[in-house]
Amino acid sequence: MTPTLPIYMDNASTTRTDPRVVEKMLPYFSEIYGNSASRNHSFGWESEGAVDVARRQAADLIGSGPKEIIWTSGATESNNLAIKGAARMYAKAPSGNAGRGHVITAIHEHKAVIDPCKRLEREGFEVTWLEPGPDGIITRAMVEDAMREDTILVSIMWANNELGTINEVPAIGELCHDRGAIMHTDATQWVGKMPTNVDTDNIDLLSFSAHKIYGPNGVGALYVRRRRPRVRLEAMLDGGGHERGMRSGTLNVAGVVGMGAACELCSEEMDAEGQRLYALRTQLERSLVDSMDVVQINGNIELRLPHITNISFGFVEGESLMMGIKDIACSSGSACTSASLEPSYVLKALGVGDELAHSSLRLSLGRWTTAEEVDYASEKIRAAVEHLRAMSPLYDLHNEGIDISAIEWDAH
Amino acid sequence: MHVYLDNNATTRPATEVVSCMQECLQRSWGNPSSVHRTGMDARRRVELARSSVAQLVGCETREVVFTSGGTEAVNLAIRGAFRRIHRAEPGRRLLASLATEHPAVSDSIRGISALGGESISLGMDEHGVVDLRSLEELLERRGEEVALCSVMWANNETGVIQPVEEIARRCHEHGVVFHTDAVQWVGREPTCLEDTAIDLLSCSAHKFHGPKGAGALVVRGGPGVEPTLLGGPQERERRGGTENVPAIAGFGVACDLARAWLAEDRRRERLELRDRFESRLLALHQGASINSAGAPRLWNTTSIAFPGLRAQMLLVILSEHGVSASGGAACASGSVEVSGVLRAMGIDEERAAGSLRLSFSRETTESELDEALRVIDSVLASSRGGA
Repeated sequence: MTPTLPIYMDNASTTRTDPRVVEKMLPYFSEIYGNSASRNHSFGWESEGAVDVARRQAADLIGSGPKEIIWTSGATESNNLAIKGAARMYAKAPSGNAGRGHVITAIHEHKAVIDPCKRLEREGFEVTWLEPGPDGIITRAMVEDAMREDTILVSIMWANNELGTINEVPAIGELCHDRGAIMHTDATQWVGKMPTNVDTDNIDLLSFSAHKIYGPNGVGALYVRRRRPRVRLEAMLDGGGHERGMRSGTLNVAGVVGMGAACELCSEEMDAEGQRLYALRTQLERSLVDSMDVVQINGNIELRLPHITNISFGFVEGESLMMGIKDIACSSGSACTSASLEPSYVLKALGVGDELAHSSLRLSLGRWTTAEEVDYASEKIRAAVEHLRAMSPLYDLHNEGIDISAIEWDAH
Repeated sequence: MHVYLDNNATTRPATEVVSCMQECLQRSWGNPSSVHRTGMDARRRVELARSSVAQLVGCETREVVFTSGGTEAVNLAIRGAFRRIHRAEPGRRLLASLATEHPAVSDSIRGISALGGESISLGMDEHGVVDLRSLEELLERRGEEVALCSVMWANNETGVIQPVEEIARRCHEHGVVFHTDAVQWVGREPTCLEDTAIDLLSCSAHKFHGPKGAGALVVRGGPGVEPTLLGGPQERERRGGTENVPAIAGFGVACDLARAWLAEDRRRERLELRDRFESRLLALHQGASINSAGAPRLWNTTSIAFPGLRAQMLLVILSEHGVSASGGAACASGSVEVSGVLRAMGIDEERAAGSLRLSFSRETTESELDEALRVIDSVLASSRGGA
């Protein structure tokens, strides 16, 4: 049976808002529309109450206290606030000077971490850009080697958005606590999918987002540790002193309610869901890898989120491959960079060549992915790859045993 | 009957807005940066909304930058423009504004001091309207030191309307970039930026029957803004982050509805409604007065002083009797007993402490106002009796 088309396999980019979440949000658009900061009437109180419930739901998902949750407009804002806010607050020299402090991050982080870190470099901070091995993992040892006396902040994502690979975050957090540095993790892809406890996982700042966990676009949160150590941040949005002064602005109440509901559903369902998606992904990868040659799965095979796979297909042209599988919504890079034709910098960081990077697919499964969809997708992809290879003289050479990379092409 | 008279804090999203958002949540939930169909559908929603915003404020579509709301728009305007201007011309370090600006503006300006900026207040008359002579004097004397001038279009507590088009024109004559916090103005009054010298304008959806979580900064002239949210090429590299598609789409619908309402030109009628309400309100309490009565004000805002009474106490009782109003801005400080805006205008402590803000929407009816008057009258009577 053909499933309904197109098939959505881009859940690491955004997820469909769960209808149960939408249901919870609707009253806050139409009936309960108060400004949660209005202190003088029931419209405001009702909204404030709903925001408090959501705060508890988000806190429960990551094992924090509700007061440690700061609402934002999304993970990009959470990451900016965490990184720029912490670095500026704990800077060792005033603005405009050099030697303001040392920050550690990695070259294959999301742009929402990379760009704020670059901004810090311009402001007089020094940043060490860790490089992963071919498996994409950042280890505690790598961070330890980069640690200095003046390291104030370490920002390492929990799971990579293009690969799904999982970094040694709890161990890196422990190291940070030993050395008195602040530990931030962009956990946008991790939270809601994997069990999280900011205390036992040694996290000081944690960014997450609703729209990756079946909640709405436009709302996210930053966990800010309140005890041992009490983390302070320089605010980015001023004006009214909302969210303990760390993030001003009228709260997107309906969005916040939606994020709370999404968090609660994840708390209840993530274990069973993770096992289900792991089985589906295994089915998908097996059917592609077993039936074709020159196919590689990128990143560490074991240390990966259960629902993401990043696969490269040799001897096909990336754009043509995407055109050949139009019924399958997926990414050839991260969503933010997929409009340009640059090969994915994440794959580059792992040492994947430009050619192979261009012909890579990120397939990310989600709450509504079915076994039928997986079968259909793998069949479609295989047909597209085989069709393109049938037209590829390079693939013929490869089959004749010639090492393509050893050929010296004439310049024209 | 519950009468909601706190529309300067937030408004009820229109039915059309809610159904559009519901549709987005259920169908157009993609990431607008994705190149596949699901993403393109979300992108379409965002771009249609951008054109609706542009039509409402009379600017080019590409000049509209979506943000998470008015506060973010204002922060982006002030910090973002200051960074650009100050870097290009380090001699420009002054930020001129009014003492009655919303905290989003005044706190952003305070934050600028860490970047080498300095705040300077423009003079006002007793109604809180900018004194154009003091502006002219500043521009004449120190025009080359001014990085940015930011004056709100309409005040959130009193509804006082500033002559921003004139201010913008004068700023331009001196090469000074001008920003206006138009959060309380846009959607309620006609706006055509093309005809003005305004460089930057901030607005917010939830003040005119759109959703919370969407706002816009219009970037027209000047050197543009240095982005605050980094991490993606969204919004022409002026604001990174996945767009809040449902809220942005809802914002677009709210703009279309506001434009249709403005085209009917019911504002005269609304002003008369407000004036009738105010004159009946004044009769309820000895010594009551309308703050900024002598200045041009929005049709929807009444700030009234009941000397000798405590607004905070009145508001709680009013809410119990079904009338929602406020003392001043809705913000998280909570403990603010007396409005900073009214004090900055020179209104004495007693009047400021006894001031209520009653703000209407275009949906507010005469019978709702009658009911509000009835409740206010009885609450005033009992508080006088009980005191």
